[in-house]
Amino acid sequence: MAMSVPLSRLSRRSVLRLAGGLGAAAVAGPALVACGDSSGSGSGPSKSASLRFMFWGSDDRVKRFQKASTAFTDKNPTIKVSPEFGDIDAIETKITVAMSGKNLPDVFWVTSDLLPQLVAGGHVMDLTSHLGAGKGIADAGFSDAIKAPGRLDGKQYAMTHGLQSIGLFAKKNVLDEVGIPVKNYPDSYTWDEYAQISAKIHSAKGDKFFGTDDPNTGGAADWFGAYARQHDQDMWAENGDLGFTKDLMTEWLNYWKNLRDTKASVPTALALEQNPYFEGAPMIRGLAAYHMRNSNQMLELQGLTKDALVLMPCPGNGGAGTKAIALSPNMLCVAANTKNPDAALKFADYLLNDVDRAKIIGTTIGAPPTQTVRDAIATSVTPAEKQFLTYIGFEAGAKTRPVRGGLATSGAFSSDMVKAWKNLAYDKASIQQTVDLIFGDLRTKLLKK
Amino acid sequence: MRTGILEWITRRGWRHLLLVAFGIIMIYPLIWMLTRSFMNNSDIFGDGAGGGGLTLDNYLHGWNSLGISFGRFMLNSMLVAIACIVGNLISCTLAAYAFARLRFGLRGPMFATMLATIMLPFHVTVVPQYVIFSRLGLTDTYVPLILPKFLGVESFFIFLMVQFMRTLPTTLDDAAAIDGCGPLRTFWSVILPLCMPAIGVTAVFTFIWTWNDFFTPLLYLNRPDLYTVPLGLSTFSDSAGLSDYGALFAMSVVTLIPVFAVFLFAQKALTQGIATTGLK
Repeated sequence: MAMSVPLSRLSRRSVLRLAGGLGAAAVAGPALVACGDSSGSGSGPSKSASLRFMFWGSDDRVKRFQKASTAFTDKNPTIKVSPEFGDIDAIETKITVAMSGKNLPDVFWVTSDLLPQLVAGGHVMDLTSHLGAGKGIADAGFSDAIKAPGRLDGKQYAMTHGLQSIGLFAKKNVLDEVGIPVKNYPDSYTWDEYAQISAKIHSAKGDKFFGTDDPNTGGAADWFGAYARQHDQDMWAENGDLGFTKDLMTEWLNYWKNLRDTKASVPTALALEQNPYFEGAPMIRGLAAYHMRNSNQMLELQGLTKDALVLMPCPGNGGAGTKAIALSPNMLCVAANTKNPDAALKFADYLLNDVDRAKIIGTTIGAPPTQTVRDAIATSVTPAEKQFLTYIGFEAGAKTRPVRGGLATSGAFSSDMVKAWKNLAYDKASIQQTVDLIFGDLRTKLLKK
Repeated sequence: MRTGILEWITRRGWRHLLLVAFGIIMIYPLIWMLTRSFMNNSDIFGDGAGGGGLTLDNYLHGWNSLGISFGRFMLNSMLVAIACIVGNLISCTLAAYAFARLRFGLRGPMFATMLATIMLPFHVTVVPQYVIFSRLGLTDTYVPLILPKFLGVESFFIFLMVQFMRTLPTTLDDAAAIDGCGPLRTFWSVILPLCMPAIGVTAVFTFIWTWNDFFTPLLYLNRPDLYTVPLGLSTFSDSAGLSDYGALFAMSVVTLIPVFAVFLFAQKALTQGIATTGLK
């Protein structure tokens, strides 16, 4: 017969011993807390303040921001800045969870996909009244197009920190070898030309070399956004619904299917054997002539190859198409519940406008948002960065249509749309099925309140 | 001679060869990582501009990257792992003893509820837990990583120990009671020493799971000097920027050493524990 001990036999002494043990743990607890105490104090820059600043990036970028933060504290001894960093996906997860605990960093980077969600939850400060000389953040030189990505419902919730856009990279020696001209603003290839050139490169360079990579399978939805803008459409309509038609999406997917079929683009499985960015980009791996990605990656990409790279406009963005240019910048927010709003604004202003900061960071996060700061750093950057600054300088000065923001659910939509594109590229779905999915389930999810 | 080899292969050898081949497949990623940790970044991926030579730079650079020694991350991880082991051993053994040996009201339903939490995905509790710790002002400390272990949240280990304790004869409790032992004394002096295999399994798995945990430290730790090893490793890569794969692989190799050592020293206890607790 199984016999167990009745609970009533627990003696008072035993319980007291247990309580003693727990007490010891309670004493040890504060010690662990003390290990990580990071509370700030004070409410203005004149008092001491401690700020948390979160951004994404690794090694090189982290060191640059650590240096820039120290330089800020040297200029403002009462404000201490603690940089926090990590991979972009990890940072997005962290921000999403931190929102729930109202524990966001004082100043932080945000993606355009996450911004609507932050605004909807009241997590970020409305900067509108803090913009202008002496008001917190100087915005002289920030054109309307540059401020637009951080604006929602007519209010400025985020400021462009690093200007970037889509850009077409190529190894110049490959283009020279096949006899293809380099295009610079205000010129660009047309989309038809781009398809023909890519096919020509494949014919000229043999079976194992292709014209271009495919931005759709690489996860870059911005290229379709550019195509939509070139056709007077947009990713998002004014009410947050899809801003493009079924026909346009079908046309775009057919265009890329044609490139895959003619081997003008790298086969999907081969392209995605490695992470298709930076070291894993088909162009860097010697598999393709062109690489369609973000223009600010010029410095890093050039560092990965001995061949000289050129940065060219997105097909169709030159000539009469410059109004379609869209800047998709890194954006900076200030937490709505920061304990040190004045210090946070001062630090944000430093990150946005300070020339010394810009010299430390360079173009790794994109170009400085104002021409004044871009000119100031132009003398101290590498030739590759200079090429990027010229490129972005043209885009920043072009008369463009402002980019419209999406709903809080737009980030999830974009990510699901890229998954659908990948399934199509792997022949797991037809173009019709992909378009139906995007305009069916995914759109319903996008519009769900 | 030839006939002997052929005979060996057909009788028993094919099994050995199959296992060796399977072993090589299993260990291949580790060997790949180890060899890449001695290569330049451009030779690991990219266009091979590094020249193909071997280098120790990844180890030197990775160890001192970010202005914080990687040893600091390892020390932090060790501190958290040890505290978690202590927490799990205290709370899980006590809870298991109660469920296995003590009689109290609602024991059955409470045990069933505890078991049900095994099925609960971790992500369900992430946000509520974060809100609690955030309101208590305990984020950016190790408390959210360690405290739950002292509260018996690892129902898997509780279940494991309950099953083990149930295999021990209850006559031991009776004998202890005759000698004047109360429940805690019986637990401490009789049951606990007999549970060493289960305790070994709990300790080793807690160490490995805590050492490898990326998500919890990511959510709760902000300051880089508090980072644990997985967070430290993650700073070498970024999908939106340039990654330092060489340093990442080098420090991953370094990170494996403690886990490997724990496995090596605890192998006996682990296999004994797995065999006797039915954990497979």
